[in-house]
This record gives sequence, C-alpha cells and structure tokens, in this order.
Amino acid sequence: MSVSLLNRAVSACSDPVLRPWSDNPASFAASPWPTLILGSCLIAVIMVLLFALTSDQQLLKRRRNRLLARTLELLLFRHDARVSITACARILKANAAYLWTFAMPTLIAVIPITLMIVQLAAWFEYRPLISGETALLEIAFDKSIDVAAVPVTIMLSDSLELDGAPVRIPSENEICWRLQVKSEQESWIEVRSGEFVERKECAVGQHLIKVSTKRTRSDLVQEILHPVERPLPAEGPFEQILIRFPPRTLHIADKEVHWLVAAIVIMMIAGLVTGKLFGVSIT
Amino acid sequence: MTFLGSFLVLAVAFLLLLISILTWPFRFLLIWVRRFLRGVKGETDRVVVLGLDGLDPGRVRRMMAEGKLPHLQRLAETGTFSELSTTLPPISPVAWSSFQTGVNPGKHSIFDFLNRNLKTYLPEMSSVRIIERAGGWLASFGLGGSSIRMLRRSQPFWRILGEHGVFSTILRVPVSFPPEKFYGLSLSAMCTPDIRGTQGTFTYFTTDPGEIEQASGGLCVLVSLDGNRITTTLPGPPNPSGGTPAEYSVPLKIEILPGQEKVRLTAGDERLILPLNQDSGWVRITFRCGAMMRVRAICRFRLECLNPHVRLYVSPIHLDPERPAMPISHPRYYSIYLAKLHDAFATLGLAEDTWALNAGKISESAFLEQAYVIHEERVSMFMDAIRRMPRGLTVCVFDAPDRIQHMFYRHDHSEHPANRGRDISRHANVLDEMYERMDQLVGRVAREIDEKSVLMVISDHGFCTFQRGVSLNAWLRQNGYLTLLPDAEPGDYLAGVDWSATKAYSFGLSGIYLNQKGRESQGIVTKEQSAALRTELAEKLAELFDEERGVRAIHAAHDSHKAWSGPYAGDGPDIVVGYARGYRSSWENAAGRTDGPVFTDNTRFWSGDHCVDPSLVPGVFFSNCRWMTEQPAITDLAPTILKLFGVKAPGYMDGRPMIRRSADSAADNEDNTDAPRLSATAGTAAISAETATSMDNRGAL
Repeated sequence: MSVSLLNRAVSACSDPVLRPWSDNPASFAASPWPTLILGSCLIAVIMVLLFALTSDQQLLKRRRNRLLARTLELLLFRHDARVSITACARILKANAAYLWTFAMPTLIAVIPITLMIVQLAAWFEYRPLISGETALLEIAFDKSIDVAAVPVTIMLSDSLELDGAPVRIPSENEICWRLQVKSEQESWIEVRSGEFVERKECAVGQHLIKVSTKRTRSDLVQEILHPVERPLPAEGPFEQILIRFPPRTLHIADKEVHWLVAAIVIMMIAGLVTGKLFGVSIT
Repeated sequence: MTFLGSFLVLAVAFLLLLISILTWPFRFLLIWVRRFLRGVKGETDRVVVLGLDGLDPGRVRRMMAEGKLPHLQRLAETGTFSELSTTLPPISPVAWSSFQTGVNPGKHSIFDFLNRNLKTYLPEMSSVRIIERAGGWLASFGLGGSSIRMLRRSQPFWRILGEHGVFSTILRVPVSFPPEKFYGLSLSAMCTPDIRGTQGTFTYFTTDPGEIEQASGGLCVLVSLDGNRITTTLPGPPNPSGGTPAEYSVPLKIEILPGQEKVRLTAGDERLILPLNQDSGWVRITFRCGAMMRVRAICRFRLECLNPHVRLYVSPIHLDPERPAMPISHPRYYSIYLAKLHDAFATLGLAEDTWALNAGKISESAFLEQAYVIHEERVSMFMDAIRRMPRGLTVCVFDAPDRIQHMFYRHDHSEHPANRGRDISRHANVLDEMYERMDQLVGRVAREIDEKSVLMVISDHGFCTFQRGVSLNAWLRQNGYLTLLPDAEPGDYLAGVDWSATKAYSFGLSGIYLNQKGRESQGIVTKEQSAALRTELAEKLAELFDEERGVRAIHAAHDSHKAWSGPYAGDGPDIVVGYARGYRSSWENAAGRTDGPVFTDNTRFWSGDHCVDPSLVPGVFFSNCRWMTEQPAITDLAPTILKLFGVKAPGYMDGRPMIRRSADSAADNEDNTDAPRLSATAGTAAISAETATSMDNRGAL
C-alpha cells in the first residue's frame, strides 16, 4: 500500500513535467527525445540536490585528492621500487576510503532515483499499440486454480477485439489471448472469473504516453517495477495481467540506442553540469 | 560515475606500477653503472637536513642548559653541536645560496634580497628576473611568452648528486625559484612571488578613513557600509598587457550577521562565515583574466574588528599550489601532489606576513597563529618526504624561527624602543616557546630516521636585537660622498640624487656601492680611485659612533673585493657593513631614502635582526654524527654531503668537506685535498674585525 502511495506521489510529481511534452501533437513532441532529455535532466538535478544534502563535500574532496596524490606518488617516486609498490597499498586504501565516503549519500539517493527511473521506463521501455497491431494478453492465475477448467470472460473497450480463441497453458498456470487494435482511443480490458472482475489499461495511440505492461498482485519489487496501475487484490484468482507491448526504439543517426543507455548518458552530463553550477561534487 | 572514476584511477595506478616495475631493473642498472663508472661509494644512504632559519646558538645553549631543548641536547651529547659560520652579509638569500652551492657570494651572485639596476639605480630582485616578450599578456606570470630566469649562479649540490644517481627532495630552500631541473623533487621558497608579482602584498579593508595611510607591503582600501553590507573588490594579478583593467579582481562582499560577531564573506565563487578574530584558513580564489584565462590563487581572511569600524585583513594572495599560474616545483606536478595530499599551503616566498604586523594591521597573536599554521604545513610535507625517501637527500627549511624572532625580539629586551607604549607581558615567552617547538620537530625527525642516516640540523645565521637604525645614505650625504640635486625632494629609491657628484651610495640592507665609472650608468669613480675610496670609507665607517648610546654602531666594514672571490664578486656591494649588535640599516635607508638623521630608534614590531657583522650571528650546526671540524662554515655543508654520498666535491667549491669522527672513516684522512679545516673562531662573540676580514678572504664567511 505504501509503495502504491509512493508511486502515485512520484507520478504526480513527474507526470505534469513530462506530460505537456508528450501531449503536444506537434511533430517535435512526438519524438521521445525531448521528454527523455527533460526526464533525465530532472533526475540528475534531484540526484545532485540529494547529494548536496547528504554528502560531506569537504571530506569527499579531501579523499579524492588523497587518492589522486597517492597515484601521483607512483610517478614522483618511480626511482624507488619499494615506494612504488607500497604506494599501491596506499592507493587501494585511499580508494576504499573514497568509495566509503560515497556509500551513505549513494544509499540515500538510490531510492528516489530508482523510483524515478522506473517512472521513466513506463514512458520509454515500450510503446503503445497502434491501429491494426496485435499483442498477446497473458493472465496468470493463482497456483490453487486449475486454468484448464476455470471460467474466464474478457470484456474489451470498443477499440479492441480478440483475435482467435484463448490458449490455456497449465504448466505456466496462465491463459493467453491475442488482442487486435481496431481504433486509436482510450482502451481497456476487463477480466471476469467468477465473482472477481479486474480491469487493465491498454495503451493505444501514436502519442508518447505511459505504458503499463503489467498489473500484478501486491509485492514490493513488482509494485516498484510496475508503478502505473494499482496492484491486483491478493484474495482474487489473478496473479498478474500482462500485455506484451512492442518495445520502443530510439535512434541516433540511424543507430538504435536503448533508452536507458541514452538516459544514463544524459543524466551524467546533466549531473556534472548541475553539480558545477551548484558547487556540488558527485564524482 | 564515482565507481567509474575510481576504477579508472586504479587502472591508471596499476598501469603505472606495471611500467614502473618492468622498467625498474633497467633504471636501476643504469644508475648503478653510472655510479660504478664514477666510483661513487657513499658512507651513508640517506642524509636529512633540517634547516631552521635564524636559530641562534646563544639562545640554544642557554635553553639546553635549562633543559628546555631535550632533543637538541641529545644530538649535542651523542653527535655534534657547534656554531656554523655564516656568510657576508648574514642574510638568508645569501646564506642559503652558499649552503646549496658551497661557494661564496662572489660565485653565486646573490648579495642581498635586492640588487640595483645599473642603468636606473632602481631596485630589482636579486635572484629572479622576469623576461617579458612582446605580446605576452600574462607575461609577469610566466605565461603567454614570458620567462622567469634564476639569477643565482653556480649549481646546487643536489644537482651534482642527481648526476651521480642520488635522488633528493628539496623543500622550501630559499632561492630556489624558479625551480631547476635535477634528479629529484623540489618546492620553491624565498623569492616565489604572490599573485600580484610582489614578494607579498596584503590587502586591508577598513571603514575608518583615518586608517588609510601608506602601509609598507600592503594595500589599504577604504570601504563603506551600506546597511550591513560592504561591496568591494579584491585586487589580484596585474594586467601585463597594460590595458584595462589595470589589474584583475574578484568581487568581495562582506555582510555583517546581525547580533553575531561574524560576517558572511563572498569572495568570487567562495562563501564563508568568518567570526571575529578568527583565521579563515586558505580560501581559493579564481581570477578571470579575460575570456579564456583563469588564475587560481589562495589567501586567508581575518576579521580584525567589527565595531566601531569594520576591519578585514586579507593575506598576500598566494599562487594556488594545486593549479599554479607559474611553476613553483620540480616536476611541476610535485606541488599538485603536495596540495592534494596536504590541502592548500603557503607558496609565497616570504609567506609569514611580517609587513601586516609591522604596519599594525594584524595583532601579534594573529601573526603568530599564521606563522605556525604555515610551519605546520611544512612539517607535514617534510615528514611525508622523509617517509617516502628511505634513501637519498631530504632537505627542508623552516622559516618560522626567523620570522618569529624578527617580530618578537623586543620581548627579550625591556629597553627596546619598540616596547614604548606596547604590552610586553603577553608574548614574553614566545621566543623560548618557539625554540621548544623547533626542538620537538627535531625530536620527530630523529625518531623517523634510522641510526645509519645522517641528520643535520642547521641554521643560516643567528639573531640579535635591532634597536637602532643607521642611515648610511644620510651619513654618506653628511660626509660629502652623496649629493642631492639642487632643490631636489628626497624620496624612496635614491630619488633626487645627483649622480654626477655622488661617489658612493647605500643600497639594500648592508651594502655600500661606489658610483663606479663604466659600471653604473652615471658613474664617476674610476677603477684607479675605487680601492682608495673603499679603504677610506671602511675606515671612516668603522669609527661611526652613536653619540646617544655611546657605542660604535659598526663592528667592521668589509671590503668585498677582499672578502669575496669569483666571477661575480664585482657585481655586489663594494663595502659590506657589519653592524654591531643592536644596529642595522634603518627602514628609511633600506627604502633608499637619503634624508633624515643617521641614527634613529627602531620602534617597529620588527625588532630583531641578523643584518649585522657575520661574526656576531653564526648559525647552528647539530648532527647525529660526530664531526671533527670545530666550527664549520655554511659553505662546508655542500661538499660534506657530497662526500657522505661518495661524490667528490667540485674544485670550485669554497667549502671543505668535514670529517666524521668514526673508525670507519679513517680512510678519509688519506684524501689530502679534503683535509679538515679547523675554524679560526673559537668564540664568535669575541671575533675581531681583523679576524673576520681574514676569514672573509677565504670566502668562508
């Protein structure tokens, strides 16, 4: 429950910043890059601010300088093999001290940064379905339920239709359908099994919007990794409802780039620039 | 990013180690072959020289007798303690130049802090010349087409050691700027300028108009309070292009925090809270010199007063050792290494701000604190160097004894004119406490080294009181040797002198120069006349009597043509005045003034000095080894250390190697050229002018 609240809070903060870009129908905003750059920069700024609050910048600088000094020792005293060899022990010690200084600020920063990167993943890991495209809908059931016999009904929004009969896979304890998009408008899927009914969003359209691939039972890791929709109730028959969206591809000069690689590079650059502006060292 | 950076550092470090290990056998072989071919076989693997500038043997003896200097006492008992004959004149740049070269001033060409320009008669640095080339817009910083030239001649003995494969670490030995290349590491000292290109200019911001007077060695800036804020600029490096601005600066904001005895300072990009009467520590300042150039510097702030006036002292702005605007070490990254290992440290040649105390801009306590902070920085560097140098030569010179004695000597003499109207109780024991502190340093160093290593604790000169100033120019004028132009207004730097009628003039701390034809641009004294004139002046000066005190002011006047030998002997003063105890060149005379009385009381904080006759202020020599020489000279140390490493001293050196008093050094006596030279002085205080002259003839003083 608390993770859901946290997710909602993070979404509430980040969505207003990112959404205007994605909702803009202009071709510039249709590109994922402006939003990715903005989102990555936002994370970098927050990271730098958190670092400024939680790290001892003086100590950090002292330890980094000491590490560099110990490395310079190898050049200065290279005439003496004994000094060179012992310098390595000093370098290792200085390095350990330097990394240790980073430990606490890193641990503190890693929680919000992870939540924000997961939010970013909802925007860039997968893309919405477009008209005419098909995707697999997989519903996993509780282990106590026999999927070969369980009655399941699927209700769809007008923009979607089922393509063929379901496939029941007892070894995985799940049932699969193939979905087809008829038109690009707000879409959803409703699954009914006995008295239990659950709904799952289905992202459809050409715009840059958040894509929720999975709705899963309340579980700390799963909830952190899939923050867009609220978790499935634990007492229901469904373990997870998943739609296999196509992955989003980003390109730089016709070369495919994974969004996370691009985001990390942007975050590093933005972090260094912001750090310089605020006088905060993050390296 | 951190982990990546950290990994990269480790990767580079291990790559360097690998290269170092792989190439080490070749390098070792090369050094071994070089040493073998030159027949180098040393008596020791390591020599550590601890230089304590100005440590006085008289005080040391007294305090050892009182049991206050246990570590020096131990050295004296188990090794050697003697006086160390200093140079003529006994001034640090001269003496330390002789220490490092083993020659008299006539061979190393350093005669004083300043030398005169033969064309203009204006002062110039004696050890450094900045040669500006056209278009060099940061010329005075050695950038953009200018170069810095060392004017000290001969060569330091560690360069000779390096040629024989002996590695050295030389820390803050005076007259080592700009750094010279050799097999070892060095950090420059005396003569290293501040960011303004001077030998140390402090800045003093005050809201009190009454305080804005000319302050020697400093810049007083009148500021005004706007509410609780002062907005001004901190002046930095000059603009060598001659354009606008004339000097670069950084904005400085001083904001008084209401209800607290503190201010918030913003100097450039740096912000700090500065409580009243507390030192800020080193603050990094970046001067933006045009679009591309940045000059990095460090300085210290101290809020001296908040009410009724704001008074903020800013130390001279030192070159940042982590990013020096000009080389201050060899190799250049040695200063970067030191700064990264020990944090920022003073780089200015005369780092302790004696000018600010002399001008009354900081208190004695503030000065003392500053001097010890700088001292401790050097201790850290020195101890680190000793730990990293199990073999070779390690030398470090500590200036604190010299500076503290200069500024606190009045406390030893209640009748000192500088005591008038000043407290003499608060810092009454400063000098003894400083000696005890130096003794503790000696103890630390002795503990760090093994018994096979040779330790030498030396000082370049001793100390005595400075109560009366002598204006030699006024005396020369009164006696018809120096003439002023009609209606001329006497000023600094020999302003108003009629050179066409002037036979002699005083320049620097103890020198008298003849206005010699063919040497000085407007010289009138011929070479034939000069010997007789020197004798005449020396005889008259020796009789100079201070009627007020009823004593002779001059111990001996030395004809430098007899005292010095070597190719540069003629470049120095023609007569070097050896003042009696308590006397020195007056402040006015040192600034080149020709007016005023011959004798004046010295009422400044700068109340002790050593610019007297060299026989009166010998240095100290301690060692953990027993030496046969009774009283060595400072020039003997270079050949002695060379010999300890098995390197024969070059023939041009004036000093002679001392002989160790141990069974295993019996072979030393076989070398007749290295025969011990027993000192002519048994009790230096009783030395006569004649004896001093005869010693000078040897070039040992």
